[in-house]
Amino acid sequence: MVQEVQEYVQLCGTAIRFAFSRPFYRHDFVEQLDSIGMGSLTVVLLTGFFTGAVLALQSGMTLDQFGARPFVGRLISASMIKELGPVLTGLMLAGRVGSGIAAEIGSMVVTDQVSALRALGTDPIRKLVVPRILAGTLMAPVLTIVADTVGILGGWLIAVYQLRVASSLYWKSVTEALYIQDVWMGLLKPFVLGFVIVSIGCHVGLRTKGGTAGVGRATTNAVVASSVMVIAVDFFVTRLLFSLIY
Amino acid sequence: MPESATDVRGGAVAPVGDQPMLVFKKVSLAFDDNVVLRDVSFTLRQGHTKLLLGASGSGKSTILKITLGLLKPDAGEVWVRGVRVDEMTEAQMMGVRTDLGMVFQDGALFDSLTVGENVGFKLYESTEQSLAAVRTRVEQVLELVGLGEFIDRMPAELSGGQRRRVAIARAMASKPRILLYDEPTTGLDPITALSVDEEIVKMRDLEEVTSVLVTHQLRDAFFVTDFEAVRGAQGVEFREAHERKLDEAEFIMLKEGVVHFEGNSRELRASRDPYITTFLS
Amino acid sequence: MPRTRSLAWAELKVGLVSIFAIGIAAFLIFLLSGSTGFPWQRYTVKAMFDDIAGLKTGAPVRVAGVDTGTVTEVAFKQDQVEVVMEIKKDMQPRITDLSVAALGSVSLLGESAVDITAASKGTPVPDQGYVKTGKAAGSMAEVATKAGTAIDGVGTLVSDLNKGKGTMGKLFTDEQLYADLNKLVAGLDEVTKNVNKGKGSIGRLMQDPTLVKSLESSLKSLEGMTQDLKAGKGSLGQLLTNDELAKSLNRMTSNLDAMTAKLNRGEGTAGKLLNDDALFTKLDSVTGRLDKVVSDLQAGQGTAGQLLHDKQLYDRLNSTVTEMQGLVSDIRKDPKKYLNVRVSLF
Repeated sequence: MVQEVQEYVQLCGTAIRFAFSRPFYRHDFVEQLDSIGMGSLTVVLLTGFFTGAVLALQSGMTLDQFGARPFVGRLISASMIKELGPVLTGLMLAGRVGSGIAAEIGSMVVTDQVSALRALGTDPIRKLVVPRILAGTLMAPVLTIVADTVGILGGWLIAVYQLRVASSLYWKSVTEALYIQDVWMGLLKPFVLGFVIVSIGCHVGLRTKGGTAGVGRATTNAVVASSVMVIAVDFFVTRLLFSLIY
Repeated sequence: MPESATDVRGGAVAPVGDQPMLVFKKVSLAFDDNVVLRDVSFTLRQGHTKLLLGASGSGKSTILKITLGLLKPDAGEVWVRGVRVDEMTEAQMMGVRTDLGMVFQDGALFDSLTVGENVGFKLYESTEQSLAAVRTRVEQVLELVGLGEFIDRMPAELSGGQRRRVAIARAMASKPRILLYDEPTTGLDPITALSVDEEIVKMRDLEEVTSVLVTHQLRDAFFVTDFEAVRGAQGVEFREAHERKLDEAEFIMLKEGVVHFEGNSRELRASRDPYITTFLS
Repeated sequence: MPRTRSLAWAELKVGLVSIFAIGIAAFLIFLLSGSTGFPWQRYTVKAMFDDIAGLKTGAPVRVAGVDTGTVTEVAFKQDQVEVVMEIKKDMQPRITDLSVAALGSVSLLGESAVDITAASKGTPVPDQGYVKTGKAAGSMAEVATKAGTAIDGVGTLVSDLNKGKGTMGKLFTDEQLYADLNKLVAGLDEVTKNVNKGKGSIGRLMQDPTLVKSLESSLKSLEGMTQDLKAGKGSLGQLLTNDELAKSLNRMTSNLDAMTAKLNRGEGTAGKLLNDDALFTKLDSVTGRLDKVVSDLQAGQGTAGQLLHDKQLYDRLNSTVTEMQGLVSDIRKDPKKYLNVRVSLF
């Protein structure tokens, strides 16, 4: 267990170092940006939208008890931007991207393709891991912003058509409960979460053993580990950011 | 042998006469309690062939991986073209690997790339040559293995034998001095296996490649030792190897990680060792 | 994915979405920092307070109640606290040497803010300059101060009372008054004792058992009477209890009611009498004539009048009546004398 953590940290460190040195596989990097970013776009759009909508739906009833129905805009924007956007996007990415990367790299390991890469003089970490980690780290905030936006839009739809809140009131109240630090937090967190998800996927993939069954195991482990880490890291990062920027 | 650990690109200096291409000196390796290799030693000269025989799990593939630097031995020395490699870092090994080519079991082609991109992989990565020049070389090598028209196909569309041949082409594309074959004919039907054997012989004889062949298919092993390829009027011909040639192909039989036999094909056939006779039957 | 395929489309997609996302983020950041502006749109203003009551950096600064800046630093300068604030530049004309900075609250929970009064008439406070400090109205601090003053007042009052100033003070402190009150109480005490013992009329009243007894018996008979009444004994009792009587009374009243109603409606002679106008007019006229007749009679007009007035006529009549009477008695005595009845057929 300890050794595994050590290897993971080594992988992360190596990947970060390699990101800033030659050779850098730009082609693969852009491919991964597309695969991770655009590929997950649909998932993120749907997740964000329905989360925002259901949040509005549920909170509408509770807010009514306090005569605070017009506050629904604040509630949705604050929860999406600070917490739900980053975490839900992270979980969706963990499921989609984490599993995909672990499976891809895992199957390359069991079919000797990774050894072949090394035999052909290409460092697998530079070629496989670095592009993915960079792409994941950069795309996660972008996707989070998309999720936040459609979430607030979803909340708007419900607020206007179901809760009968005035449209202009909703949009105005969206910014009322936000501090600028909330926005920074909502943008910084996805960076960390994206890094965690992809690095765990790569690490688990590279350590795959045992043929196709091993690949299946690796995929499962990657999803489970990155999902749990998303939630855990979210807590720690939030805590850290609280003391740093508030 | 000179200590030249800092001389990464050993290929810069052409080997002088008899300098061996590959030397193993008392190499040992164990995974936990499992001893894979124990005091394995051999020497491989240029243009010669080493055939590693043995039962499954006897450590044959491990020797190849140690040669490539994919694994590091617990004890002993490994010299590739006069350069000691067993204690090199991964980065340093990259330089050594320019002279090594490996054909993996099942080919290990990159399934997301086309055949052409697979074969030219190393050349594309090096960025020293233009795309057109690389393409030419790829076509050339694929012609050599007889798969020229598959250049834009995906590996998944190829049969097992074709994949092996593409793997050989890929290993050959950058003209390495030493080719390592990891069970190249295992799992193939006899005819396809024969075609692979022919490629191995062609590489050795026409391209002057030093080979290490790991196999437990005796038929193919004997073909490689007993035949040679020459360019004839109608293309490449195979004929029986002459005496001297036979000496250039040496068998090493491994039994439970230890060298059990070392000798040419005649010596192998003539051996009275019960293990060997069982193996050969 | 083969490297030889163009990456252009992939790059384009990624670029578009990234730009969109960055745009939204930038827009949001801009919106939020809008109230306080970007760093180059702000200037610094300071104020010295004796007590900042928990004011923190990042607390809002308001001018005339409008959010325009934040507190960026809070530091001690000897025993006072210097509060450094960054405010939007366009507020500068309003924050002048006539402005007063005071501690206000953001919410009822007392989260502090700095309130600056807008006073465009004075000269603007320069960058890094100081604003005067004072108390703000309606803040928690203000309420606390007022409460403090009130408590002080009460304190003074109590001490005054203690010192014996004023009537209440005297009440509290005057020994003589106390002695007098004591005597009064003692006297009252005596009186009550006497009353208790039965001395004096009231005392007797209080003490005499017979009086009590008679009172008791009266009460008893009263009680008895009420009970009888309840049981329906005696006419009053009956009245109180007898249903029948009540019912007949009811009926009577309803009859009376009906009758009066009838009368009202003009039914029946009496009713008519009551209601009929014509009848009334007739009666009126009859009585009028009767009146006339009587008056005529009285005046001696007409035969009857004569009869009423003429004395001679009366005398003659009198004598006639007397003779007649004699005649009748003769006839009675001897009817054959006078009456010969001849019966004749034709």
